[in-house]
Amino acid sequence: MDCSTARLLLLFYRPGRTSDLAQDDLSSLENHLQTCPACSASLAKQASAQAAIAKMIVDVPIPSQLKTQLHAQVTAKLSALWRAKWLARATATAAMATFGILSYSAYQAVNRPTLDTESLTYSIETAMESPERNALDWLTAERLMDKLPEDFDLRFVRFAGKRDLQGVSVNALQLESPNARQIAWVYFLAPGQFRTANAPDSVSASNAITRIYRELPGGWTVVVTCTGNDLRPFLRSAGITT
Amino acid sequence: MVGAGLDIRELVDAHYEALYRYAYRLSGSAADADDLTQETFGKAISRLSQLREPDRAKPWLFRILRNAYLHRIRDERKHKIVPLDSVAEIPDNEPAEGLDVEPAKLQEALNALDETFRTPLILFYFEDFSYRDIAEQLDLPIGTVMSRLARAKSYLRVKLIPTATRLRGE
Repeated sequence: MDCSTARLLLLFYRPGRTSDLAQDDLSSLENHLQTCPACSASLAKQASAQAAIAKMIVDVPIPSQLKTQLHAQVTAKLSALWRAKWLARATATAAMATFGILSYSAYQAVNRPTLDTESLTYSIETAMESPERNALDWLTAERLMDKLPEDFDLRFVRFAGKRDLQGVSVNALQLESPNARQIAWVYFLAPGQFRTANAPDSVSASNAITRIYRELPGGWTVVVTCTGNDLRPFLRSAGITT
Repeated sequence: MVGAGLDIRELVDAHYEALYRYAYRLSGSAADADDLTQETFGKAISRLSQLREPDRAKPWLFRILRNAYLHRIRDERKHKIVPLDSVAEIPDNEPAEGLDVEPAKLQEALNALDETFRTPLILFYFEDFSYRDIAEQLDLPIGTVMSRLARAKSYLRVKLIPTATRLRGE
């Protein structure tokens, strides 16, 4: 390596920083410096000047409060970020909940049954004109024909459908005696719907009775409760003609 | 703890002094240096997840600071540009003894340099940065960085080294 090349490389050479120059250039330069007093002296001057300038450049007084200010700023910013993150999560949760409610409302709106007044009118007309047919159709549809525990006269049926029995929706028939002075309810209890083991088979009051019929087909239980002291006014055997 | 498992407070403790010095030398103003340092850490908190290598935190912070500085001066155009083409031809002579320069004169000389020369020069004298580090920070080829450094160093020597000293060296 000649001196002009060495002086050029010296522009970028920093002793101790082996990564500044390519390895070949670094080796050649260091070999040259060992044998060339002029270049070696130039390096010493350069290193001295660079060290002096570097010392001046980094010689900047640091404000005494800067570190405290920065820590306060960082704390405030982190708090703001956490608040923003929490708010974003809360907003997202609320948005999802709102979306769910709206979706469910929309679903309900789409699937809400249409009120059929014609059918309603026809049903009540049929119930009034042919209560027996009405009751038979319902019992058949609900597969309850074989669960009737007594020979009820279905002409006296005034209601057939779902009814709340002590908080549980069950199938039920309501019958009205021909003189309209007594009513009876027949409740059909599916297996497991109630705990009935400890209930007495028959309960009587001064003007009402209740009976339980167990082990009907399919494991069903039927509860019959009526005003009056017996069921005969509601049975076909009463021989009442209409 | 945020981001890549780094505590931003530890970054503050480790780097705030170097960042402030860098900001001061870039801007030439203590008030601007203060603002730039705070702005840098403010941005660092938001972007900490982008720091893939915790060991590279220092150049990463320096880069954020320089971008913040460039954003500030983008429309100001207040720094006059020194024609460095002529400076580069000055003979490369160094003073044998240490320099005795007024701090204000050093900053004046830096302020007069265009940012494209001033930034690599400051990073070079911070000594923690290799040429490759400087090139990465400035998004420049390493050859361009070395060229700018050579010219900026020559300029600085002209500004700081007394004429008599330079003549003695010739």
